[in-house]
Amino acid sequence: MRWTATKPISLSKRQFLVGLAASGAVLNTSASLAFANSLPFSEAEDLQLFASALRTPTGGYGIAVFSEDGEILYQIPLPDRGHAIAYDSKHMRLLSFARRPENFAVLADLTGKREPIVFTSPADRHFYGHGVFSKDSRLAFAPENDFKNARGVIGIYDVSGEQPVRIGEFESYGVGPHDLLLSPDGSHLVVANGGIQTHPDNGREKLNLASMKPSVAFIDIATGDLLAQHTLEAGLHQLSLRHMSFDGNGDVWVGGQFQGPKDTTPPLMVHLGRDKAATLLDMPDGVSEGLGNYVGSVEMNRHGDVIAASCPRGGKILYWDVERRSFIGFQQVTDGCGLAPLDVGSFAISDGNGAIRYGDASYEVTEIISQNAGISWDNHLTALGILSKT
Amino acid sequence: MFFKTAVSFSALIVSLATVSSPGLAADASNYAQFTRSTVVNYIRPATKQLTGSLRELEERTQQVCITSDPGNSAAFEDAFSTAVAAIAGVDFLRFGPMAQDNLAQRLAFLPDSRGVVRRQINKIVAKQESTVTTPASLSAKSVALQGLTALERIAYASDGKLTLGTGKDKKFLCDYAQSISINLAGAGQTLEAEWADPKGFSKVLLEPSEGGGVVHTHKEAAELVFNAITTGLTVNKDQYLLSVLGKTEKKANPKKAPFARSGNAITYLSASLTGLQGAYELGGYAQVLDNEQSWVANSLGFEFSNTTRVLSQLPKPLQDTGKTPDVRDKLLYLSTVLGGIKDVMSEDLAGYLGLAGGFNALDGD
Repeated sequence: MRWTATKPISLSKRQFLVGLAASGAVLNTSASLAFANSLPFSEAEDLQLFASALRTPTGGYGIAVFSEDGEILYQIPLPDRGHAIAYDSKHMRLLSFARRPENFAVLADLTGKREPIVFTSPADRHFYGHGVFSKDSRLAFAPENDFKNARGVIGIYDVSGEQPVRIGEFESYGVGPHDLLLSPDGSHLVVANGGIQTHPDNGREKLNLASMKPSVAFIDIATGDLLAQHTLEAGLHQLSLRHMSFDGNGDVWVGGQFQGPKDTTPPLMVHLGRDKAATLLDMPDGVSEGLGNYVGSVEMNRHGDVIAASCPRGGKILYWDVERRSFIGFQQVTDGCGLAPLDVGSFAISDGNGAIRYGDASYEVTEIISQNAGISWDNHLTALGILSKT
Repeated sequence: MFFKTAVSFSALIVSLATVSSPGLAADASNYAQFTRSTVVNYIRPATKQLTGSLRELEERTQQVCITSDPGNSAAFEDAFSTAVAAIAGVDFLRFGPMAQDNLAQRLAFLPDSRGVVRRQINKIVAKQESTVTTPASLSAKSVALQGLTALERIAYASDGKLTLGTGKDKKFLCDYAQSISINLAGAGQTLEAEWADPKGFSKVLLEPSEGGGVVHTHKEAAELVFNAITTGLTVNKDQYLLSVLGKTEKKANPKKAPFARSGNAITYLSASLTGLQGAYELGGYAQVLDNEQSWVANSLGFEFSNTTRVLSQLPKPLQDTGKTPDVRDKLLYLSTVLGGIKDVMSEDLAGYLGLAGGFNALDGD
């Protein structure tokens, strides 16, 4: 394990603050979208809240919090496109990481006690869009690319002080680490090493498709030691393992993105556990063919007995029964990608056309809750629950 | 083995999105023309019509609040229906000016499957909140309190009867209604002016540049407009029709259709579909298809005419008739037809034209 203490870099801060000011000026014209540096808790009373990155109607990027009614209650700009958002329920903070190959992150305090803080990874690292807080919210962990050495790392940030400080890193035990989960007891991390090598000099170009080797690694959060690692059979080495969710049993469901020939349709979903080997999950004929070999997000419902997986390239949301590990069904959602548990049995779903929907595995149709004009919700949704300032 | 061979059209669309194919029916000049035709021939006239209808509604609201006699009441109801149709004609254009300052939701808070308008207005009316009784103070309130959907809520009773200008809350509700109608007319005027301004959002769409905002090429501009049409079809089907139909016959809820309370559900749906058809046809997308691809235009023309025919057969008001077996059958059929139109447009037509859909589908991670 290598520890490299670095100072936070404020490269994008000025630009970001200009964006913040501009955003406030624009959004203040509407009460429901009023930008303030805090969430309007009185308007959020008794409502489930969700957070997501988005593209704005003018082509900028930001993160927003919206209610179960689909109303945006809080919004701040990002220097560039975001991806997923980690939530610190103890301090009501959002942490948004840039997607590859960008290197900024934004820490936003929903209570308004502090202005949003932008910080960056070290110059020889970049983020992958995902990260988690530690159970005590003192630390944040983020998959990063050590692109000079073509290896994945998990950057460790102390987010307990005035400024986030990078205090070290773990190996991710693979290349191209993407989604990251914190185990329910806070003792270990699960990282999906997508297996794809990239370098900022080449933008988002994939450099090793012929030799990629994806894996899912279980890592001790205290020591960085590898606890377990699962790979796929050789014939599936191009199934990039990207997005994950725990289920109610503590097992992990992984959604993949196949980088091989477009006219083949390998399984895209994998079930595994720390001590359970990876099992490929089949889908019915006629479903897998229309997914573009791409799973964009994986999430469990609040009961932990249903897993949803979004396939924006195929315009579908898929559902699995956890106990049986069997396919339940799907719904059509054009460009749908973001998923978050809504209640016991259903999910909130966001799409690139600005819509928020509710989807229930037992019904083939989703319910559109809102459609925000001009907005594109980005890949992932984060459930914040019902918040109260007191 | 796990591998299956698949040649799906959606996969083809994805591949078309990322490479330039010589087999496409459309090129950059076509993309530019699609957008220009839609803006000039559909969007600008539709927004002009909207402004006229909302001005008329503003006047009729004032009149019925002065004297709620049968003549003024009928004139208000006519103006309200016309405004519903005019908003339906632009509501699916959810980009550019409609995205500024929540304009789309200030015109009509749709979709509203959670009953946000009802909940917020109930609170406002219970408290007789004076902040909704002037246009300026109302404009600072939640958008759910501002649009035509809010006006419908306070102007009509649950049985569909017009009550504006009558009853114990007449003064409060009329002040509120007139504030809504004045702001609505202003919102319509803003929308029309934004689209008419050659240096406004029209320029973003018609003269896209790499350094521009939401679109950078003529193709992206065409995709933005085209995807708004297919999204509009989806919303009509998934939200408005299927929420009326419900999971089962017992759970059917015709009151969930937009403007069902005022008896304008079918007016809204018909105008929305007419608008979507108009935007598609006036955009000229089908004009560049070759002979082998022309079935798409024929199919869409036939299916759109089917929607018109079915809607014309539905007895009004939908909130009273929506649960009857005959109407339910027609709505189910309409839902199927709409799904077919959406699929042909978003898969076949988009594939032929090389138009890609999807912020997440195209450039996810």
